[in-house]
Amino acid sequence: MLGPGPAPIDVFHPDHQPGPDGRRPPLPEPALGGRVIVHLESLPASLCYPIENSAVTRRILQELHESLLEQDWETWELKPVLCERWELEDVLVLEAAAAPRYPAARELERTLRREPGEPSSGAPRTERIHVLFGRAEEAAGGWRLAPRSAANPVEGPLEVPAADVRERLRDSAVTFHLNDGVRWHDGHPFDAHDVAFTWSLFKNPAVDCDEQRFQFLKVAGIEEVDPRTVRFVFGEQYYLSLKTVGQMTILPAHLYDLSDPDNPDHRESFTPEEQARHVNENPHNRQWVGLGPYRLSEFGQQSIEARRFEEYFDPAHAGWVDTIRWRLIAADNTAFQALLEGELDYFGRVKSEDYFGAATKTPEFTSRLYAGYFYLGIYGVIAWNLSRPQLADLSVRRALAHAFDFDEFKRTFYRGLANQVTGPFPFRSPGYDHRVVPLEYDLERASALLAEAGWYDRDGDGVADKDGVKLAIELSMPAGNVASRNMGLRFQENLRKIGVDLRLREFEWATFKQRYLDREFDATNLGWVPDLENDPEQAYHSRWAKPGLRSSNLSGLADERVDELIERGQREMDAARRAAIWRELHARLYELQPYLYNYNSPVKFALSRAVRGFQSFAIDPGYSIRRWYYPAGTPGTRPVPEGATAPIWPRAGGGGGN
Amino acid sequence: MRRLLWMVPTLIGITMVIFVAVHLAPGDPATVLVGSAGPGEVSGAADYEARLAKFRQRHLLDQPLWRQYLHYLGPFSLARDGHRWLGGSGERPWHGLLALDLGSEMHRPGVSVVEELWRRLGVTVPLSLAAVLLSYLVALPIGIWSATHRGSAADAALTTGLFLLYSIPAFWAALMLVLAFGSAGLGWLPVIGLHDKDAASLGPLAYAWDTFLHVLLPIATLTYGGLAYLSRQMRAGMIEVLGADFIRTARAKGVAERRVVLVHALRNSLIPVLTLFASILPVLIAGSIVVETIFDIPGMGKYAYEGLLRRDFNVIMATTTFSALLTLVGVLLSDLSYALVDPRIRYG
Repeated sequence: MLGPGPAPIDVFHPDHQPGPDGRRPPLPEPALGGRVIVHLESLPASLCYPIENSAVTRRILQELHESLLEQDWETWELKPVLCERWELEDVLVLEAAAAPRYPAARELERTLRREPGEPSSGAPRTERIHVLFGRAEEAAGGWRLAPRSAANPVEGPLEVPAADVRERLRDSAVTFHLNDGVRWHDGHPFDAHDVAFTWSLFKNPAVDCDEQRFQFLKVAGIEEVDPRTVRFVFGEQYYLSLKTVGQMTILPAHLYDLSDPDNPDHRESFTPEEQARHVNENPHNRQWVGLGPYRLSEFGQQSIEARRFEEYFDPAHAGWVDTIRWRLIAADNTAFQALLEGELDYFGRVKSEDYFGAATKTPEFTSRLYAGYFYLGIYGVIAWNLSRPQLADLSVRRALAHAFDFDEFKRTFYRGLANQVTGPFPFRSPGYDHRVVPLEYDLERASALLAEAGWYDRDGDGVADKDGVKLAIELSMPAGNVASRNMGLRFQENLRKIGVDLRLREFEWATFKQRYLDREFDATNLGWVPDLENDPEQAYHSRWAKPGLRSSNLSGLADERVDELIERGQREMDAARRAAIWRELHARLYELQPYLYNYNSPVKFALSRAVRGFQSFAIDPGYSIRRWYYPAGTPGTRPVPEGATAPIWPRAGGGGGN
Repeated sequence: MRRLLWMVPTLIGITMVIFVAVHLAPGDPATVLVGSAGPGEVSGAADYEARLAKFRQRHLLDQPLWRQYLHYLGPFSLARDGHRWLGGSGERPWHGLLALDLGSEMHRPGVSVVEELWRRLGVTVPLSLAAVLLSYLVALPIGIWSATHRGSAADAALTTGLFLLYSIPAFWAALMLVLAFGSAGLGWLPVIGLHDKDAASLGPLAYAWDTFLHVLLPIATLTYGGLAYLSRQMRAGMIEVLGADFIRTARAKGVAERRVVLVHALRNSLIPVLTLFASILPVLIAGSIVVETIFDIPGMGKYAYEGLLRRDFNVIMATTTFSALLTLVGVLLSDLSYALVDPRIRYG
């Protein structure tokens, strides 16, 4: 299914397959209780996501924590979770000389963008700005600003002459109205100070949150309007700003903020370094106190366990099972064995050979488990290094694209399950342009393109040459990646027919990563894991193409049209218009062929047959454990008590925005 | 005592060689461990470079190799918060091998390498010792029996069988045991971890039994190779001693054959077998990499392997230094055991 929409339940479950009449049997009645054990490929050092920026931490916190907003698994809309609603307003950045004329103006500190190659040591550059916020509409000679949010210092509509305004930032002030009755796992009430305090940590350079810090530097200021209301003002117009703060991992101030009187380590005075150390070394980084429907019960050496939090503020979106255990098993083969042994209920890294082979057909497997698949945004690419003379020519890159039989490889290697992709955005996302037609497999056309570019076999050795240089390309890939190797071999075979000498080279991961970041390759095959809507700047903007700069623009692409589309998309706050820009970018990139996009392959999983309610989604990790349940009557479960709220999905309402 | 003292410069020499080799190998821990911004954010790459620089500074990777080595060796810390004598702030003056502080893991800054290693040794050492003990307990009688029945059909069959056993790679043997005894085969034994998923709810006896069942296959995997090797060594040693003059004399004096073999011959033939102790212990630790990975046991072998993949220098140095130390201790113990079984041997 492309785009958002309801996710069907238990699609692959053997007891929920369509009968002769084409209809699926009804789902069993869910019960509360039971335990599920989910595989984890690595154990995080802590659960404090600002510090431990790992995918596994994020996955665990999905059940142990909540954020202000959540991107709905099915509709993909942002929905309120810790807040009951939010309001977006525009920001008018005033000219410094004009600021004193506006008593409602707020003075904030805006962090300036660090340019690529700029020395990264020291604090980022900042500037003081004066802002007004409200809904800004163009009026004769300037702007008409109308307040929309609570406690907006602007009283009534305000006329602001154009000469007083440096820039207008659309939807760049957001006011969250927090839910009542939300409590941390230790019983302490949640309030606006928790939100403001958490943001302040990203401004403290001594806090070990470098990997996430840059996202929050766009926030120019935060205001605790009252204990239930908090406002962020952004210093630039950027489409991901709301999502960034809405999904920020909020920390409990009463356990992390040294100035909080409720903190057992409270101090009257302290330095930023002392505050940072209190955060970096806080025992609650491991002994997590969150806001989610599950509370941490054990953080062990090989597993993390969480149990139902009875005081969770929103029982309608709490989970069915009582206990979730994440079990670390680093080796995938061992994890599959653990699945067979009953040590795991869910394993999301089933290999193709097991999925299609005998391993998932044995009675040991089928009696307890079933297998299925779903799609995330993950896709593979071959990056061409455009600084290499043989790859700088577009005709050569297009010839290479013509020389791989995508349909055949999809049929034989992926057994038809993968989607061939032609652009940078996830296959199911609105930014993906499905109108882009892949270049067809055509070796004759490929040869002709090479000849047009001056590459043909002059000396009869079977390899095309030009100006005395052979058309040889080294394709590097991580060692042990079966898909990359198979694709490389197939590609090598085809390219030989058109006189291209493709040499395959595998590297152990550490070396591979170093080489591709240093652009020490002709071509490199790797996988990308984009968010549903990711910012394409680093991978495609010419700003990141400078030689010697480590970035995701591995090809070194520099194209004015691409730059213009990226910059326009970043400032476009309307999702539909932005998606149109991204689709245009997609088409342009496919035309330029800096990468040979290949496949969006499925995540293949195995799940215990006893567990019901499985739904797959396009958002990482592709499932929500709190929706899983055991059928009524399963030992260890209990029915939903009379009058109690049973979990229901999806969350109602949008509550936000405009 | 002198031999004991010689261990110190030997160990330092070994660590120096390992340190240089590890640092010269391709792959930089900063590149591996610092997450890149990926195909994403606007100022991410600038921050990526900043994070790399910060990581290198924190772990002294921006320093010359000799300085890094001295920091590793200790006892003075050469970090920014290190000893005042060496230009540090004095906040954390001591560090390094000589201070028994090998720092924290590079990818988990709050986790002390020594503490983690110690914890994991608590898993690996009992397994390895049990395997060594079992190897000797089984190998010695087999070797003796084989020597005293030299040339018989049973000896030939035993020799062939043990040779085959010795030839089987540990990873293959472990996988075969998993397939044979796990749920895919007979289903008799657990093949994952050290405890059942519900072990926390078991009583002490049931817990011990559960652990016993879980360690059977890992110990069997660690044991069989050493067992085959030791028994062949025992056999060869015994055959050599049984041909010696003093054995002939003993027999001529009418000493019972059983006493000749178990008293006169055994003590002398044990010497070469005991020397093997030195090499078997470190090999077992190395073998634990395979066993711990396949059976999902959180021991030192797995720790070393994961550290290597991540290029976590602190973990790599800690585990290899420990293995080197173990080898040196094994050699020392072998030398001491020589003296024990052969009074003619004395060390100055």
